[in-house]
Amino acid sequence: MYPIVEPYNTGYLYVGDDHELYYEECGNPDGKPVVFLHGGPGGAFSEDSRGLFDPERYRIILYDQRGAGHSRPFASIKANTIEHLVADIEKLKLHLGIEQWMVVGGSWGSALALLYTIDYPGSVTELIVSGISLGDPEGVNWFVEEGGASRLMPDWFAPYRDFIPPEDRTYGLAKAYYNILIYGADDDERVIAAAERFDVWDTSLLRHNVRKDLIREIEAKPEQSVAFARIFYHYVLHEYKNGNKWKILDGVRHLKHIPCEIVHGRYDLICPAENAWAVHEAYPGSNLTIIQGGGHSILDPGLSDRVIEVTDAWAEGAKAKRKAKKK
Amino acid sequence: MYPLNDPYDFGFLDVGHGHSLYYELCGNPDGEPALFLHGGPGAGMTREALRLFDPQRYRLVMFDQRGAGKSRFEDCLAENSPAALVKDIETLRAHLGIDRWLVFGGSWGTALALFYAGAHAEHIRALVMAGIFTATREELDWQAEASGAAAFLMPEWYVPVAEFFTDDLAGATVWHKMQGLFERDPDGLGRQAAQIYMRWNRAISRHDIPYAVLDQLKDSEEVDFRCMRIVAHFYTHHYRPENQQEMFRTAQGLAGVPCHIIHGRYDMICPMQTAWALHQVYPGSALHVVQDGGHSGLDASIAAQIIDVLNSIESEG
Repeated sequence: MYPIVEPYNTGYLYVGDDHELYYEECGNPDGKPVVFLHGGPGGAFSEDSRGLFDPERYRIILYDQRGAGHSRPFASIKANTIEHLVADIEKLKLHLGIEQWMVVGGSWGSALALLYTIDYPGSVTELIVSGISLGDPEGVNWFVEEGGASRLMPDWFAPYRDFIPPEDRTYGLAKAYYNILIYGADDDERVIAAAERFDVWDTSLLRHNVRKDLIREIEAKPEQSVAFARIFYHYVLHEYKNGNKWKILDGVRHLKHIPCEIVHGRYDLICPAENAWAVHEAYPGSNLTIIQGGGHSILDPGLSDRVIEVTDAWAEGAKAKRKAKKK
Repeated sequence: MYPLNDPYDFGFLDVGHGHSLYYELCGNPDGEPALFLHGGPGAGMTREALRLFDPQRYRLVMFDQRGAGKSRFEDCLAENSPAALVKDIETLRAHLGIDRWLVFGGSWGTALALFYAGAHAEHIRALVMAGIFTATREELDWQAEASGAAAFLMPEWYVPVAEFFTDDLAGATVWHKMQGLFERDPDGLGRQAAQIYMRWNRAISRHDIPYAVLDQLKDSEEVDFRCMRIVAHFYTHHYRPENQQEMFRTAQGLAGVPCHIIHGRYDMICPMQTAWALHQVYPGSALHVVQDGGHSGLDASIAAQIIDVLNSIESEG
């Protein structure tokens, strides 16, 4: 990974509907522009993501989506839909005076990246998507409900499941968690506890080897998980539809002119490897790398290595283009 | 792993119904008796497995269960059941003049070990089990069906299975369909089915070796075919949810028998959940989750864990 640099610029962008998005710019202000779309939804971006790009050659833009991380209002699900999130990306691009940028997205961020590119193909130079999500219910149920990832990680799943009393599980765990998180206040003890349980379960699945340090961070400040948990279940119950999957698999057929690298961990316990194959098959000219021994997160070593290989290669290409133009 | 060494003795044991079981004795003839129960059922012993046991410390007994490996038979499926296999273990123990032994089981061998413990715990000094299986259809469906975890994580390798075991074939599940083919057309579609499924099974069995390499390491087709027939037979006639309940009840009463449960986190053939559930009910048992391990006992991390466990067990005075 490249060293994690400090941003040279940070700010808030008002995108309407009372939402202000926190963003930051790092690296080279004259470099190749790239925007990073975080996961979740509601997951906020991690500083570590800055390390996926060479700070000398890239103008690196990271931002928190509606309600997530430092964006305001914290954990708000009002006017928080896929349509809003896609439009926000274009607003940010215009605000920063950028004509076209590379788009990189992991997990939920990969679904968002694909949907954005399908709606705004003229804005995107290249795409890197990892830990592919298609925003559909079947995909997410694998780890949100019992019977999927729970069979490999029963020890981590048990506290997540047991937080919900058996009589409340009739309509599934997602619905039960949703009820607690949506109808409770941010500082409600039960809301915070539910958010913590969910975030710990999710985090245990993120990497090929469970990162106990990340778990401890969550347990130290559980109130910070509320945005992620609330926004996540809001999207699972209201925004995750088969329509997203069809739109993506149909839309990418027309993106032949936009280079796309798909990276997916063999042992991704959150998003099915099948999603990566489906996108690859539908997207003409796309390249797919399955990382043996890789987990879900774009920061898992095998995946980040591959992403950096690609961002390095594409930075080269950009430099060459600029040289040619000067002649 | 310890070096491969030749058995110091071997033989055939007649257990009736046309079955004659091949067995080997390896390691130290004066060592602590240990019994190795192979998987499948019907997979036969692998000589590589003896490398898990310290040849100075252990007098290792390995045998091919009914219809497997070098064992002789008239009909490999005749009288082939968990109960019969448990009896065979006792016949072998008496034949060798052993009073108590450490029992090691891998995969199906863990189910057999638990069945054996249910009837003859007094002869078990310690139980070491890797890749826990409790003889239910649900567990086999987890590895074989499109809705299972392996198909979720390795969809491109699953394609030949999905394309062969279509809705045209009679049977609700892949294993049911396979059993049907073994009964109706063993030498035609039956053989094809076994080959395709075995390739899938091999591809998902290890965490440390990528598929492309695993695909090169083939067993003989005949061995694969026989093993698949035995597994399908057990699936159809002997696997049921009650087996797991019975084994868990047995485990609850085994406080006096030291037990080590080893299971790979990324075991795609038997879900780690079963190991965890068994550990919850077996008093005093130790659970070793191998974070970067798959199913096979030869998976580098799993093998290392098994060797550690076998070396750590206290010798009997």
